[in-house]
Amino acid sequence: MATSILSKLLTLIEESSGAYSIQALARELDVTPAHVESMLEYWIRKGKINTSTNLTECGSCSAQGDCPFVLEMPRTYELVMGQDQQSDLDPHVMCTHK
Amino acid sequence: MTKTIALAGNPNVGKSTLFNALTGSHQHVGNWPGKTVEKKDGLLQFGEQEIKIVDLPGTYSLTAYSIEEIITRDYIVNEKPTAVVAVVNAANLDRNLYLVTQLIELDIPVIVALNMTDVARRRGLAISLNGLSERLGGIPVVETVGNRSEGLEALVDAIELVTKHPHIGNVQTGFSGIVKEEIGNLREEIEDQENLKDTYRPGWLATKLLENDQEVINKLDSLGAGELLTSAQAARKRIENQTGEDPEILIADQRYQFIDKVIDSAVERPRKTAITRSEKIDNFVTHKIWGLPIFMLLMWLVFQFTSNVSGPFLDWVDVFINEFILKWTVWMLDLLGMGNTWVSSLITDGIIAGVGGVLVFVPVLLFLYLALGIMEDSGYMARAAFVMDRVMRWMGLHGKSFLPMIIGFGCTVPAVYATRTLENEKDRKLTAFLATFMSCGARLPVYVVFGAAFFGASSGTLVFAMYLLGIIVALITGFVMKNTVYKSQPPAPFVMELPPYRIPRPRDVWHQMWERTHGFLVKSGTVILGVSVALWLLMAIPAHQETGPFNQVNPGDSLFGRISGLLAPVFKPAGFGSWQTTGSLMTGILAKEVIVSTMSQIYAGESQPVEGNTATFQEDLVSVGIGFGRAVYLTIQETINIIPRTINLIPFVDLGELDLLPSDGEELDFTRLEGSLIKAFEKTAGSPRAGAIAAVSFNVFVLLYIPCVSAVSAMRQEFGRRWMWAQITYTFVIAWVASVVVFQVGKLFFI
Repeated sequence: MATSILSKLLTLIEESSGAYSIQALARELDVTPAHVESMLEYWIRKGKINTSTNLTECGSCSAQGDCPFVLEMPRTYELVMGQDQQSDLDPHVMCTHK
Repeated sequence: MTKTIALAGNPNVGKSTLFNALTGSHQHVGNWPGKTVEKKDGLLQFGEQEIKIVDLPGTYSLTAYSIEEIITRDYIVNEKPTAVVAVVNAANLDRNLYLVTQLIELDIPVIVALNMTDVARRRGLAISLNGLSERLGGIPVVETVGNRSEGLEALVDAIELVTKHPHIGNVQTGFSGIVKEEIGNLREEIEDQENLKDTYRPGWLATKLLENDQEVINKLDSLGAGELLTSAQAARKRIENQTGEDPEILIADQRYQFIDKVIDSAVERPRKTAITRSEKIDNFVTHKIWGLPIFMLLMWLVFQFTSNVSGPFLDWVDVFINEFILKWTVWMLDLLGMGNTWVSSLITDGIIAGVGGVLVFVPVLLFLYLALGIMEDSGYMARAAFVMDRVMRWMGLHGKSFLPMIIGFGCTVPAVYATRTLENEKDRKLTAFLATFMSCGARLPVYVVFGAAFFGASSGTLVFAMYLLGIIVALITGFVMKNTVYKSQPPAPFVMELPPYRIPRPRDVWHQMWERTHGFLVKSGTVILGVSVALWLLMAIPAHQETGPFNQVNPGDSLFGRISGLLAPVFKPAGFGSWQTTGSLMTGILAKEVIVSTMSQIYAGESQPVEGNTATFQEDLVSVGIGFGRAVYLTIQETINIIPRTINLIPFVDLGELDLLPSDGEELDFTRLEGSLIKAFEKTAGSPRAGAIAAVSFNVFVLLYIPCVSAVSAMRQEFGRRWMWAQITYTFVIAWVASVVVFQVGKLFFI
């Protein structure tokens, strides 16, 4: 019997059958999008959600972060499923969130 | 005794800027004891008084999840600074106030420095300083703009006031119900224990015990506070039984609700229930039924725009390079006594034909990057992944995988590296694999030259079909692999930040368009120039002595012609089994644009020189100028014609198109390369219609076959040699099968 908005947020993401936008979550929970982002940060700290970062460098490419083809992609938050299949690469090694 | 003020705040809120402004050159930089995290402190002087300022690490919270959080709270709890200045990003109060509430819970004087207020104002947020102060229990709130040193005086005044009259805020009212009750009970128990009361702030310690903070529990255990820990455990159990929630989550939730109330009363912001303009657009654009057709229609428009609108400029650049530049270069070489020498051949048949053959497509890329730039800057591009999520999920793939695939429309190399944003190793490999099927900008010149040669005004449809086919092949490949070799758990749900829609800013769009085109020009002057010179050499060397001397050999009898000819039969079932196409595909592995430059060089070597143009330099220059004006005129016409062409997609609708410069029955205007390709493909395939089918088959092969060396080496670097070879083999086989099917089935239906 989850009563907190924080738990409801996690349940909504867990039970969703597809991608959610921050705005849609805010509407469902009757809070502001900024409030949703703030609560997502909480779940990131708790290790329940991962967040993606933007790519700014491509290995040995000479463009070194100035590649005009790297689009600024939106930030995404993903439910952590299991640890067994996690990538052994740390995206923070090469990428920084814009 | 020197008083100490600690600066705390979330990362990137301008804390260091404020620290520098407060301390000036009186700074000391070192490390926190036993940690690799940087520690900075300095002195703030006003009058004769000196105050020590300590810059704490940037942190979002005071839990024990990261080293920064532990350093910050240990410093405040153990060192007990006189006060803490909480530096807050005014534009993102929801996130920043979480730390502020936790600082106030520590029962120490807190000053809020509301930084970045200029950004908040630009976003339409009006913050009441008094309102905020009142809701946070009367703590001082001052406005600062750190990078302009604004508000520093007010901040120093607040620091001076707090050091003289410490005032502790109160956010305990934020807690309610059983949480408040249990915090109160534990607090009383802590206040009864002298050794704990002096070390910890009772209210904060009670909250941490209910949060089951292991760091704090271990410390209390070592202090012999077993009874208190038992009480805390019982309290946690009671909360859990009554609410069905983990007390830690409940406490965090009540903090967020408190913050929401604080902001509601202190900040003027859009109502929660108000639907923004972006949301209204999204309701339609990302709709579960309409979203996908809208995405397809937009893609179709982009390629109509790219292929047809750029056409007049493409023709003009072709005339400029292959007639004007070529003619006057030959004239100059003749003047220098180098006419008909190998130097002349290298410059005209090698460099101008090769590099010039690719530069002709600069207008096409400019228009593609313009269209993509508009989609990106308007905020739509982010929605594409959102829309495609349903399709991807249906195929068993991760919706997030479409983000690297979108990057693949520009260049495959960053797309491969962008898979690092995926958490699952299997998803990463699979997405990188699929991203190579996305049509990168380098493949576009191939589609455009074949589209214009064989499909005229419908060339945009061919380009659109190639991009679409790339997505379809990627999805089918992904579906098959996900259900066979890459079986894994279903994709994890995800949340996406959708930026608000906005009118694209011309300066930003121009910048993106220019940067990307500039990258293409640099590649033309380096990779393509090098390949063109090497190719000229291979085409000048005879395969045998009897086929002719150096540089006077028929291209088909050159070393390059013979080697290509050996592999040509492989492509016969696909309808393009000539040495020319085979050779172009071979060099295309270096970079996809090279396919066009190679074809340009081969067919330039085979075709007869253009004769009969006896115009003077000035007359040619005037002709180039008139040609440019005509191109501008026709570009406007083609832009307008996108409207009837789009409406004509509706069955039984046939609107007429604008024709500002009627052709007076003249023949269609083909570039030199386009003309040569029509003849060559007709000859290889057997008839004009078979030639057109073979052209489509060739484009399908170019779309799907082995990516360029840069992309292949990116794959090797990221996933290893085995994976790289698997990809090379798979892409070659799938490209061959698909092009053979297109040619053979096409012949059955259309011939």
